[in-house]
Amino acid sequence: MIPPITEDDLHAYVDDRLAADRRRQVDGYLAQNPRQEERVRAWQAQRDWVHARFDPVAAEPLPPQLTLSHLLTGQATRASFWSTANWRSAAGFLVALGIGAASGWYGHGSARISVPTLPVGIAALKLETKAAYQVFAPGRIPDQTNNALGNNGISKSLSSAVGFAVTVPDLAGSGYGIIGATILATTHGPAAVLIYRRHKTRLVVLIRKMDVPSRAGRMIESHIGQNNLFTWINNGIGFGVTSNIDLRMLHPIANHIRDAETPT
Amino acid sequence: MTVLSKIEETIPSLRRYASALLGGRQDADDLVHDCLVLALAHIKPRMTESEVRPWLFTIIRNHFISGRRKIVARGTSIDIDEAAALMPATAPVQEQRMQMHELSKGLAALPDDQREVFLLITLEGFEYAEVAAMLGIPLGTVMSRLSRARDHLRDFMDGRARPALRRVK
Repeated sequence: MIPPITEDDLHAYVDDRLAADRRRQVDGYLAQNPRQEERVRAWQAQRDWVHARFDPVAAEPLPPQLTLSHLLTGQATRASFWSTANWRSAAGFLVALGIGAASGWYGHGSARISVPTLPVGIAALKLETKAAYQVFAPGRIPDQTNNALGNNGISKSLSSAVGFAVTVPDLAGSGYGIIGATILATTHGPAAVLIYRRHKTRLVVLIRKMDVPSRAGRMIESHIGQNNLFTWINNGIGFGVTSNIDLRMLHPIANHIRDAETPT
Repeated sequence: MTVLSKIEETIPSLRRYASALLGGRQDADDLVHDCLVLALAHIKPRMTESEVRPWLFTIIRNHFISGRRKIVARGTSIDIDEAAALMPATAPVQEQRMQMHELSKGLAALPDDQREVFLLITLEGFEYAEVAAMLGIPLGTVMSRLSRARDHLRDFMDGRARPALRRVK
């Protein structure tokens, strides 16, 4: 005896989820029930239509903003700020990068993230600082003027995230207030990024461990695009400071950060 | 294959789903983008590849719903072109094209809960039980939503239904 045909059977028939036996039974049922058959044929037509209409979207080339390599390099733009939950997700992101790297994801396919000759040392630090500015300065992320953690709290969070002691430079003397802090994944390890604002001007400080032997390096000024930059190394920790303000205004700020960092 | 490459592999179908969910609108890619950013920030270290696809679709679905709530709070808006597409066609072309047109309208007019179930199953090929787990609803509810969605669409194909008027801004 054939178990009664159910609505679920009719759906499973349309969706090709029936075993061959049951499918034959449904075929027989439909042959005798023209109204149900008409219904099922309409459902099948819907299925064919929805594929004809939307499958081409899946075949389109991916736009840049949906390419994983772009998303991964821009990832730290979103995972940020004072809440510990966000710190955790930022850390999760680093773990994710670790998974990718460890299992050879970078080499996957035709080198989607091309890793040719990467700059090292100060040259890398400069580029990372400039990149951090490009990402964070245009106000893509909301300002967190309500600094609930305080500078000490931010220092603590950043330090535990990057694995070395980070002191948040106090730039109030120059009129800059901190509006954001995050960590960035760089090819040389995690970097702490601090974003400051004075009126419409933004200033970005990037701090990370250097992987080159030099324990200390004098301050170097440079220019990339519209930006002025100062970079230096202190006790194996690299510092980058950048903004689009005049060199003469940026220099004392960089000096202030360096002098505050230097152990007495 | 790693979790990341599985995510990468799923992006095209996320776009397809988002496009269908939003009626082919431009902001479908924004929805996918947000979904991927959320996903990358929340990858679980011990995630298996087979978990990735349902997980991503759950994220995109939840993100869509939460965005939808905000839109509902503000009042729905559709642009003039869309509004024109929702009007009954004046000169019926061949019947099949007409039906396709009606289906587009019908899909747009489905309630969100029916549309998502219909698309996850029909377009994205998820198992009924998978959809129940993804949406956190009983299997029976999945089946009844699917039934209602399909019959509702059928009404549109047969010209028995017209979309409810929506506010045009």
